[in-house]
Amino acid sequence: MLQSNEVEEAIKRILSHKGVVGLVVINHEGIPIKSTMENALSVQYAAQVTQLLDKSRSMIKELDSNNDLTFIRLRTKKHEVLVCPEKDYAMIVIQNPTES
Amino acid sequence: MPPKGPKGAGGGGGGKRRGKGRRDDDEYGGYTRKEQQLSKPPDQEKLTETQLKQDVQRYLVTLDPTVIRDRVRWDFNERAYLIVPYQDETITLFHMDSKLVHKDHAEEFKKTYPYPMVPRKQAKQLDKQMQEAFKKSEPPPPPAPAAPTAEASGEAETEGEEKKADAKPEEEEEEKEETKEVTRQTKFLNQFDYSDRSTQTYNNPLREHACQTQPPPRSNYKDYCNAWIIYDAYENDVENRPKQGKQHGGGAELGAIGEELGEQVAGAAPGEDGAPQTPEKEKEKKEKKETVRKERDKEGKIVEKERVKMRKASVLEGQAAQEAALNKSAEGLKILERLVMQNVHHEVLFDFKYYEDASDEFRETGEGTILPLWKFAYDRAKRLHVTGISWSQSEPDMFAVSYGSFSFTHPITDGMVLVWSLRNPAFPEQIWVSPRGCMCVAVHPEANCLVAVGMYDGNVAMIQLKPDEDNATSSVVLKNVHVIQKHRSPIWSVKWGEDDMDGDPNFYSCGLDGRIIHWTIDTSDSNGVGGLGGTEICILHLPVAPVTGPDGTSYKLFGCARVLAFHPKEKTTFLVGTAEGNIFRCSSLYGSRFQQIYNAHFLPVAALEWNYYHKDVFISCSEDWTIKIWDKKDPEPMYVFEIGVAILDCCWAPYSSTVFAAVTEEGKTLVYDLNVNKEKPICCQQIVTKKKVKPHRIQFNPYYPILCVGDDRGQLTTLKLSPNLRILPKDSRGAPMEGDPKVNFEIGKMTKLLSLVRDPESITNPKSLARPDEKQVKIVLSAMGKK
Repeated sequence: MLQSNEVEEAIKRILSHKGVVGLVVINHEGIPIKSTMENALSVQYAAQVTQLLDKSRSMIKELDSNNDLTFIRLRTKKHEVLVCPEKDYAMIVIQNPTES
Repeated sequence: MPPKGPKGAGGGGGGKRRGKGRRDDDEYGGYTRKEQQLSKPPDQEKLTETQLKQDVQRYLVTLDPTVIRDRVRWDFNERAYLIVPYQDETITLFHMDSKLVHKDHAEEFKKTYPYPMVPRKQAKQLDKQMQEAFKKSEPPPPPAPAAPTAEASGEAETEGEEKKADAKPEEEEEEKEETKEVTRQTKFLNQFDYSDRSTQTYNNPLREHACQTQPPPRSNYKDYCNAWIIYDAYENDVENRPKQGKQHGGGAELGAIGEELGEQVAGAAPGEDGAPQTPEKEKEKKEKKETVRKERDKEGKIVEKERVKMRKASVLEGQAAQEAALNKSAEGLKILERLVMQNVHHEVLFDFKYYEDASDEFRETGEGTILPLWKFAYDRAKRLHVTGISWSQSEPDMFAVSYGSFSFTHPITDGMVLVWSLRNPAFPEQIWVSPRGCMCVAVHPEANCLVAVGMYDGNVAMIQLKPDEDNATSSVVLKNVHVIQKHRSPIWSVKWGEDDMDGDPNFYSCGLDGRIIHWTIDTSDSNGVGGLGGTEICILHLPVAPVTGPDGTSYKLFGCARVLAFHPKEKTTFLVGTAEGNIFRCSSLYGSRFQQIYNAHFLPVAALEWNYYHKDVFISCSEDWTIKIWDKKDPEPMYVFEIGVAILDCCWAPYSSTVFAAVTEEGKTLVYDLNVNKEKPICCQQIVTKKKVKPHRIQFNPYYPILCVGDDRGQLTTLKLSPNLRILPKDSRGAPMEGDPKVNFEIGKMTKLLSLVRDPESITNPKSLARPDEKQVKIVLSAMGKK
């Protein structure tokens, strides 16, 4: 486990990578608790991603109860949305892969 | 009048009484006698008026006139008439006691009769009331027909009415019945069936009383449920169950309550018995209870506080909560970073996975190229030298790197060990900072969470990367416990040995003090933490005569060990390269003798490695510009490659028995395939851009065709080998060989190469081997002779 300042460092590092637009950490209720983007945008991302997470986890679990969702990558025309669901939190990174 | 007859016959007062009843009928029955057309029997005797008025006297006697008295019967025995005795011929058909009581006996009757009788006046009033009520309810009848209303009261006749009746000319009007008042009152109550109201049970009045409790606190909860959510909940429950069993907190509390209850019960019992309890004891008990109560209150408060804390923590805007949340998500961040890196290094990843240099097919000499992929650098390690690289044998993308310093004239004190993953070139997976420079590193071949490190000050350390259950926060580090056991000079190489019989990991280290030390986990540490305990395996005494010191004492010179190489199959056999240029072949089973000593190089041996396939072949390189390939039975090298520049490291390829790679001081990487070209490298490429930078270490990945080169700027470069550099053996059908056929093919390839250069005599008569053998035989023989 990393210490809290190391977590901060890790977030900074991720943001420093090429093409990373922003990072949002949301809790299980879909409320953004940490964001590097505009408030409105991050709230929007949080809301949409929460639904997506519920739906996709539901899909995986319905197919096999022992399985679980660990990561979602959404490739879009403009960005790539990376979602990493944890137990209580989920992290979203929006990256622009064409830049890199 | 026909009724008169029977009346007359009845005679006396009785007849009159009956007649009265009859007249009542006539008078008040709604019809009169005049209207009556009495039918007379035809044979009725017609009497004159006088005859009718004449009283016919009839007597009522107690004797039956029909009974024959003085009846006689002829008796044949006596021959005479005998009087038959009188027999009572009365037959009682019906018997009923009269309810009538004589006037004179009325008082007596009252005494015996238990029920009250309504006095006559009251009865009159009652009747009047009744009549009035009746009149009111009905339209007032004409005065004449008022009689029947009075008659409706039946026997309850009033005197006034009687007077009215007297006014009418009737025969029995003079009659005054005294008994009448008795009869009209004798509505006798049945003693047996009659039930008085007062004997019935009391009917309680119905009452309604309503009250309302305080409504329980409400909260809204919203969630959805699925089959898998239920399943997960059950799984969690099963997981948590044994842990709950361990927690005794709740049970203890219950126990305390139970004790107190028991105390109360115990306190109550003697009181009931009447046994006097001393007031002191009671006081004590009270105090006890008081304290218990206070304690519980305190606990309650603490719990409450904790709850408040929890509630505060759950307020997600709180900064502490945020930090906690982020700490929890550290693992997720790692994954995220990896995937971000995957996007960043997308092209490199494609090169690594799919790019094959197409130009290789057209190179007639069989040469190949190496393509640089990721570069690994960590800011804090920039000024440190890469002193050791060790790939994990089970995880294809993981490797550990030790950072320290080779410049002993200007040593850099600190060092570190980083564990890298190919998936994240930007940041290491694990960081272990050491106060001393790390000189070498080795990842355990099976349990890759164990990393052995040798340090500049002669100490060793074992790092457990995986956090264990008790210590979840950081990786565990074991260090050597005793200062005496440590090396007295920098450690140049550590290598894992085979796990011992208990399955405990152990490793060997060699240092410049010429000692080989075997390290095991020592739990006898005074702190109980556990450490590493070392055992000296051997000291590398050089095969020269002892040197005499200035004061006359003689010293045995020892070689400064620089490289250690364990045989991949024979686990007890290992090679040690020294700074003097010798290579010792030793066994870990006995330390006093060496199996063989090769005079390999003029300068320190830089690297030493056994071949992966052929069990007798090993490679060595040195700063004396040479790479040498050895057969262990031969004191002379099989192949010698003179590069013309110092060689800093070399290693065998894991996929072929004839391929090896080396790095030069100039920063060139050489790849040889003896099967293709025995004189020249098939690839020679500059991999460091700056001239001053020296690559110090090179290692093949055990799974992918990748080389990893570490330089003295703390940077690591991964290089992909082009197809020509990694020609895999193919069977007759053209499919790549696997398993044993491949191993045999590779061994055959190497054997063939050796046979090309081997001098047949050297096999039959190895010089260096023969001498120690003869000596040994002599020693053994002499020892046996002595015994």
